[in-house]
Amino acid sequence: MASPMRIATPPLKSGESFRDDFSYSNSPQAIRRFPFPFHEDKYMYSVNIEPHNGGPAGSVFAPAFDIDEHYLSEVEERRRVLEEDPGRCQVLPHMMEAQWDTLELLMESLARDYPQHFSLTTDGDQWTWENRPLGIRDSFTFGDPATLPQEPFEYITRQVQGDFTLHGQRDNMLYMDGGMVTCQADWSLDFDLGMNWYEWHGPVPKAHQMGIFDRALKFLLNLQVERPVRRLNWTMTINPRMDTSPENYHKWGIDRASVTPENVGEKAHLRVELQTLWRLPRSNAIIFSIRCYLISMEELVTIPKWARRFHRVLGTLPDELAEYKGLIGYRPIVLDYLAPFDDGAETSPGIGPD
Amino acid sequence: MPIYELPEDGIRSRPIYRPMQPDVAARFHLMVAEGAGSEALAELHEKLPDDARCSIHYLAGGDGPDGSDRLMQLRCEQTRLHFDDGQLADALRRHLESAAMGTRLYVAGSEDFIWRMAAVGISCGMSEEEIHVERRGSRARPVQCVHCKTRVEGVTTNIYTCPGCGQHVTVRDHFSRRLGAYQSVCVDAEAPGELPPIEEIYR
Ligand code: HEM
Repeated sequence: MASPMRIATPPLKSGESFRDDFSYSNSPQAIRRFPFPFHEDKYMYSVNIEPHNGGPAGSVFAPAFDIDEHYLSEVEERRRVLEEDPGRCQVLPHMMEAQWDTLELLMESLARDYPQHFSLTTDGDQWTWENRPLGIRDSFTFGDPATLPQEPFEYITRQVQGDFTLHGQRDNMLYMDGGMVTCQADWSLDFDLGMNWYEWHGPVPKAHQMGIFDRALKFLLNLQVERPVRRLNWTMTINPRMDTSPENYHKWGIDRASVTPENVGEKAHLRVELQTLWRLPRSNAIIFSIRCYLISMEELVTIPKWARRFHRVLGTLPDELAEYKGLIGYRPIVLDYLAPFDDGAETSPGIGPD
Repeated sequence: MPIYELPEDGIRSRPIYRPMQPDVAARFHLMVAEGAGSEALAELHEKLPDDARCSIHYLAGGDGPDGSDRLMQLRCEQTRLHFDDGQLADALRRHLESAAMGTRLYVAGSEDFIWRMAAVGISCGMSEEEIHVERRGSRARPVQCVHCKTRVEGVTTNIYTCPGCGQHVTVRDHFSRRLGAYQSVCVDAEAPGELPPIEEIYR
């Protein structure tokens, strides 16, 4: 992250869809700032945690919580998912203090990083929040849920891109004590609610045996206030569909069988999660932000280094991981599509475009 | 977590049950069972120190063997037979609400039963470490469909038709203690109509 270059942040678009006609796409600037997750030509799970202390201006790593050109469409998609399935946002009763912590962290961060869009004025416990892109201005009493239209966690996470989960820490263990989960890679908050760290990670292959979850948990138990950390995770999704929930798997699973050599460039997407973890000051809970980015193969190959590297990563990805990520069936078609973009040249270190 | 172990392989939320052991730190042993769980309580009772304080609640008249007679013979401060599990849960709740510090809860029976009773313990403020569970009898699974959330008790096959949404769903090893259920998910979403062989594997 040493590069001093500034990456342009594109302006907010509106009216993109993540279902039916799938009109979502990335502008050229959005492609350049895509968080490509591979720093080498192969991939295996690791404890890939680093401080979340900024990055090149305009990059997705610079702000606390990245707001990009898809903001309005993703907020609208979240609203639709919640309308169909209110169980996507649930917080256990003992987490009220953590709810207010979340609201504070998000409001302060957004107002600081995006003064053109958001502002927060506080006078003791009298707070006024303004979200100009969504046309929201609310005055409320911090600490009094009755003064907001929804509980504080739901209220604020409806206004931010990406999923969020809340974790109480008890007896050296983290628990799934709440979340707003509408753009997930195939896991269910409703089912996982109340689970501990090892249980909710239960379905992940290999990583348990590699000791990754033991080490990552140990690290997180010591997470300090104002010292957030981040990691990237990835999978693939057919069509730019945000809601790949298990709840709706019977609707989107069929997409995986729809990939052909003709449509793969448009349909197959690399799905990257920029995950950040924050210790919350009052409740001592942890909030986990899972910010999802989608890029089609067609868009990805406009960056020659990424096309080359992704071809190699996907080709050598162990079957067990390819199976778990649900891409083993259509992987050969993606590899054929990417092959002409891989001239065998060496790829430069780091994740950025050349 | 002494109440159950996590497996080394496969989905690690799947509970592994071992014979319950008395908690030496306990000051009162509250023992609850249904069906074949009576055997587990009898075995546990044998391992208690002579001066241990305990009480037994048993759900009689369910499926499977009836252990009422056996349990009635055990030396115990209070033994109660119940004939419906709502009544049993109420009795348990009443006991826990007035229970002294150091009470431990032991539950044995079908997987559905043990996690429902464990949830009563949790709702009365017990910690995970204070609740011991053991599955006895059938290995049939309580399952929740991830699509429509319909719950089915006693699933014995790898695949079943969900009575809520009518889909063919497969039973995963992913288990929620809060719900006391395994997760089931559509088995033919990617190839509609193509079902793997249906086998009875949880008996
Ligand atoms: C509190 C923070 C975290 C939460 C809530 C969380 C949650 C999850 C969930 C729900 C899954 C999907 C499991 C499934 O298939 O049902 C998952 C996958 C995974 N998690 Fe975490 N996680 C957290 C932190 C971490 C950290 C710090 C690591 C660091 C190594 C990690 C590594 C992984 C890996 C490797 C996978 C598999 C991903 C894939 O192959 O697509 N997680 N996590």
